[in-house]
Amino acid sequence: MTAGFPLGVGIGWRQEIDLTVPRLAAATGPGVDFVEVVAENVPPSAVPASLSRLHAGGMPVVPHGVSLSLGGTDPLEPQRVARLAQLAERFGSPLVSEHVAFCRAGGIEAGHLLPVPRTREALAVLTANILAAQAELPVPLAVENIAALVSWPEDEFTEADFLTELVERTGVLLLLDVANLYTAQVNFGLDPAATLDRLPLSEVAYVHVAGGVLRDGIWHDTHAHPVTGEILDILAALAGRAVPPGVLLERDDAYPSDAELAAELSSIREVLANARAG
Amino acid sequence: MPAPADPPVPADPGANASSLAARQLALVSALVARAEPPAGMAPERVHIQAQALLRKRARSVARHQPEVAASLGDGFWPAFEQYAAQAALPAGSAADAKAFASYIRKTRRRLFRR
Repeated sequence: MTAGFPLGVGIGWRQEIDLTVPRLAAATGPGVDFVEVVAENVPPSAVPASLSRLHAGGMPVVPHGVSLSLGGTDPLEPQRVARLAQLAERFGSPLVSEHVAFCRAGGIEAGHLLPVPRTREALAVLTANILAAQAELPVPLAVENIAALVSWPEDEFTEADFLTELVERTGVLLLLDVANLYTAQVNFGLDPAATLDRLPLSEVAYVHVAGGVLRDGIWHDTHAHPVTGEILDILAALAGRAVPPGVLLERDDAYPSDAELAAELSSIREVLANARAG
Repeated sequence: MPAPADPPVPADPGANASSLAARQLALVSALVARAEPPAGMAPERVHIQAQALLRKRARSVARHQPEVAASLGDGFWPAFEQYAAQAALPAGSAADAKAFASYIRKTRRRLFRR
């Protein structure tokens, strides 16, 4: 693994579960090895006390941005990159992450991560923005494949080839979301195994796992439903090829009991252990 | 409440309608300002994406204004859809929640006056 920060198994820290996360981390057994925070929700100068305590206790924290719009043609907003950098400094983070996506155009906010057309033109925009962001960040950047409901007719690359091009052009690391690969499988017929075969798996810094729901034949990556067996199967297929340095469970709404979150973390550990036992 | 906004015209939308900037603007405008979907993109998927965005906004507004959401009960989602159909997207979920609460207050005043 050249991406090698040994992160382990983690969970997305959210204000709504700020007491659950330390409980899970302190539980007997492996618990929680790292957390990820949404950069836009954590002011670097006013970190919530519960998160501060968790970090002071030795918990690694990875800042995760959702609004850089790295795939957008609007100019990159320097204060958004600066915030990621400040959070990385504040937490001594091993890396930060963002998305292969755009979230505004012509100054209008979409309020959501949207897919870029997988074209040469979009590759050039992403490459320029990623290089500009990397120049301002004190730590490596990883970018994530998103969950999409729409696709562009002008796509020239497969998802795997597009991400591979980005890695080759910028040296960016990958945050591979297996739930988003599943989303692409259901919504666009993507073949997860073929995608994993083509991706530079040595450049995967960590992995996202999250639940979603099927509505009228479309998979919605809600982060508000349980993680399904199909999604864990893609994690297993990935780990069978290369065990990722980190796997993070994302839950953003309809928070279940501590026991349910602990069980999902255990399922992830089991998949990784099985792959190592191979 | 601001009037339904036309999609703002960017300074330079690119050389032509097929440029990346123009295509991205077309998708965002379709999602937040009910413009036509980008040419060649499946309109039903754009509709599903717009609905998903609305649900995401509604959840966020309900978190910011739990008492308003609770007072509406099952009427929350229909009320939110009506609100979203006549208002431009406010910047940020706190502003969205405030605008929704104000919309509900005005709607209730209109009902009482009848």
